[in-house]
Amino acid sequence: MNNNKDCHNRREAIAALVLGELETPAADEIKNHIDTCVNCRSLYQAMAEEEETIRSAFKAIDDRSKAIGNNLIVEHDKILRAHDDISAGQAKSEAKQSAITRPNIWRTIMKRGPARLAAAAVILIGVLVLISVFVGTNKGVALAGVLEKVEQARAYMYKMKITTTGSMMPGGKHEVQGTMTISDEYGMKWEMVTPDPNTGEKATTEMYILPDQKVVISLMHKLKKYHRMEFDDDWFARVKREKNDPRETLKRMMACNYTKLGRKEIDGIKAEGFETTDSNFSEGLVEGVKVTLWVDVKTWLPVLWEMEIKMNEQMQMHCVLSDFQWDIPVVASDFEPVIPADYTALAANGYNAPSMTGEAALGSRVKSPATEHYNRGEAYYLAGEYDQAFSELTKAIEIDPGFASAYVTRGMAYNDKDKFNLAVADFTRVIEIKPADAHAYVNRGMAYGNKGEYDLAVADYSKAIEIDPMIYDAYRGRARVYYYKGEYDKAWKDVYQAQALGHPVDSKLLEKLRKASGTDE
Amino acid sequence: MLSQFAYVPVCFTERSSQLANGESKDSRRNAEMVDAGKSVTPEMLVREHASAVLGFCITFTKNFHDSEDITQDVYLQAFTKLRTLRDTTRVRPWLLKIARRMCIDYYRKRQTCYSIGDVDTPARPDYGNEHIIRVHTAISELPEGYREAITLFYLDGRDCACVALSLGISEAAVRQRLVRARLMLHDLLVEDIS
Repeated sequence: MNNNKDCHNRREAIAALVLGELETPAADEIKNHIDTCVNCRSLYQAMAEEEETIRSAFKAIDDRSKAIGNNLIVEHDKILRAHDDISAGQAKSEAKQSAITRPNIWRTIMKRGPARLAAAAVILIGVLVLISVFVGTNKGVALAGVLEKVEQARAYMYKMKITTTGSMMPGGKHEVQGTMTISDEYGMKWEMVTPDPNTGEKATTEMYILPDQKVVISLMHKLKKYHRMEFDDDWFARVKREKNDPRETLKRMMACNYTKLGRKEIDGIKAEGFETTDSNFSEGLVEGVKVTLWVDVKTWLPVLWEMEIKMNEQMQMHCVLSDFQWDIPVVASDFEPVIPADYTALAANGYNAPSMTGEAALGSRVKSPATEHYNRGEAYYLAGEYDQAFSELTKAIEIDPGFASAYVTRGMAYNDKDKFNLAVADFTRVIEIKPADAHAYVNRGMAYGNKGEYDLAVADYSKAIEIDPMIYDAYRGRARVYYYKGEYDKAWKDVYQAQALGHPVDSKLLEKLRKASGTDE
Repeated sequence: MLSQFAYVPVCFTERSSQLANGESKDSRRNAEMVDAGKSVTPEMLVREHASAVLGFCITFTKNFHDSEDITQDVYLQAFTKLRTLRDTTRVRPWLLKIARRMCIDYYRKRQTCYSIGDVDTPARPDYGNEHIIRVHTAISELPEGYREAITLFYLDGRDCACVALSLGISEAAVRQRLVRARLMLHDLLVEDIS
């Protein structure tokens, strides 16, 4: 017989045995003892039985870490792809974005996922500033006199630096520097330099926007690639219309409150400052905005223009326009891009950069009449002019009944106008055309949900998830529908899934769900 | 411009699909040995260490939900600071150092610490049934050094050498902590049942 004290001392050996951390002679010894001692045997058996549950517990952690890890990789991948889009997709996104009004630019930025946001926003802020100067819509900060002066300058240039910082950016920071030359007569030229965050090596891109030829040409020197994109009459007509309507500009300007900052000297120039932090500037779609404009008191022309934009906790942007040179002499050859012989065209299919307003690749699609109707329809839709949007999109569909994007946009428009049956019909057509497209099901699920047909909505969202388990929109949508159905447990599960994929669920829904289910999770 | 983010391997997406299929613990460990000295990619950070980081955060915060958030933050920071990592054989301790710092920040913000079983932090269904939650609750009650050791032991394919490397202590010390932690865990589980 063994006494209790001895057995107590054997506890550690038994634990080590269970853990598989006991060397052979000691292990054999304790095994022999276990065979003869009831107490030690029961301890060993109990611990061995626990082992399974303990391992399951850690497997659960392991599984969750995989889900989180996958999401992290996807997010990280997206950030990188988004950055590639800067070089590949900028010309396209630029023209696309310019076709719509400023508030829509903001809305479009915010519609993108947080990952692509960074890259998109850098470009779009650039475009926004560019267009502002070009068309003279200095919303919120400018004075009528400044506007007039800017319009009088037939050619001018300035330096621009856009710094994006935040945890979403690889290296914590992304910087674009460049020089912009703008001529009433010839168009715009933008030379951009982006330093490599790892090596500091600089990549230069030149972009020409040439209104006469209605074309945007980008030269990516490091890649030895060029990209040529036509923009349509509509886009340019719109820009011109805005340019010729100073009243409209003035009205917009008045919509923002701005304060005068008084005078200070900037680079030896006496300047007067104006500042706005009015959320109207971005329609309240970003967390914070501060725009400061310093104007030469003698010439009434801008000297320094700074924009600080806080997109969210993860991303802030700082844009500085400086070194303005007004009324500079320019010649036609300044605006004639020279494409070196060894540069190759950036194939539209090669990079599949998603354009900022949808899948329609304006530059790469062969220009058919259907496409033209579609482009106009989409621009109208984004501008909130639904009647014209319906008419253009319907024309596009009449010409090309297999035009999925046109159905998507028209379906969205119907959905916005509470015409859910028509929306469902359009989204169904998209599913017929592209049966493997998870987003098509998400769209129809949304329309069914709005219509109150919850079971059909759940079926569509579930189908989308089956096609693409990472599609967070489907989890968010389905969570909402489950909430309406009163199936709170399922709703919570989908909330977790969306969160695990890094996409928070609408806080109002969460609040309602908490109240209704009587639990926090 | 594409080479701007040169530290991203070409096989990034291919490998992430492997990750989705799950890999054995052993292959993870081997990967760490084999890859030692080579450049570390974000994908490797996730594939080989995410469970340890999450497990570590859970032992520290005793809260599943917050631990997941912290894990994400740890990785976002790790991705951006990857270039500053000099010794590529010390990835795990480096990640856990970031995790520890973030957990401490979390403590400061919250000032209180809940056990996993508390009402305020209801069980996450993703973490299993009530038996499993009981195990997590019991582990959360172990002293800190024991918690870390036992968590990493089970997450690292029950390999003392790996745990020793992660925690920067000797294998013998790990073994001692493990044995004691395991006995305490048993006592807590028995107590819980009775």
